[in-house]
Amino acid sequence: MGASVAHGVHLDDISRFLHKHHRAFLFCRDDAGHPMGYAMQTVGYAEGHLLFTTYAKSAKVANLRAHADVACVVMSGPQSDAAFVSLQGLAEVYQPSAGEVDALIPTSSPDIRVPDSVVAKVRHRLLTGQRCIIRLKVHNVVASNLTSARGEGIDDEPQ
Amino acid sequence: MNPSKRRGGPGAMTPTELSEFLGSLPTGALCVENDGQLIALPMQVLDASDETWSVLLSSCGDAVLKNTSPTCLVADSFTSYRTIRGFIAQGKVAKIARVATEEKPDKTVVTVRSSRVRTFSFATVHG
Repeated sequence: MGASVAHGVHLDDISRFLHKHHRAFLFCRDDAGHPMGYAMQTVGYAEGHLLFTTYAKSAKVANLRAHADVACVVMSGPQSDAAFVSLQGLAEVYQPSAGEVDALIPTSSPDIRVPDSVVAKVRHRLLTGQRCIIRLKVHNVVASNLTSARGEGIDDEPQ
Repeated sequence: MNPSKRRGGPGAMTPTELSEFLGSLPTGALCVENDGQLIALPMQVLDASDETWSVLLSSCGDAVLKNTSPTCLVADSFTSYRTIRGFIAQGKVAKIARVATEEKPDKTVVTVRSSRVRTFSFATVHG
């Protein structure tokens, strides 16, 4: 990952957690430089980069292009004692290639809450430039309860 | 409307829907600026009335929370795609109260005074 990590947290646990869990809250800065956040779902984690998709003309893309420094919490589920990882890093926005769309967004979502029709729409909009990828390069893991949740939250089924 | 902006997207919750949503004590995250850097922490909404929000942080990590710090709260619920809903509240930290217990030594209740609140609901998608 190449990032600094909060005390007592195992790097392998962080990576495994970010691969498995997708509920995320992404924060950047608004026009005034104040914190502004969005409820998101991650679509991948690879080599220290957390990936999201969003609309290319969305306010969050404008905010991220103006201020690339971001904070993000990834959680194992909606419960108040869910396992979590809090990250800091830099975000970039780009249009993915067709190959990357195929690799990131399978034609059927592993998440049963997301209908195939929505997946098809997301894929189409990524391929036509209506949607884009947000790639967050993780610099710091600033807080996590994976140590205390070890053996419990890390391997919980995603919700 | 600025034509360069996105036109579609989720609709908003009605006040009744928001009240019901908040009554479920939803979870999400709080973000503050800490020494020039953004830091985000998981939170649970405890109460919200008028522009005052009380949220519970079960961990503060290394963050130093300060009164009057600009902050943003986001919470959502996602039981099915059609029922995704939540809110985004920007404001300032108004009060910080440690409520540490032996089991949870880092528990903190943060009161936020919001200046701008937006809700979203995929039950009323536009575009």
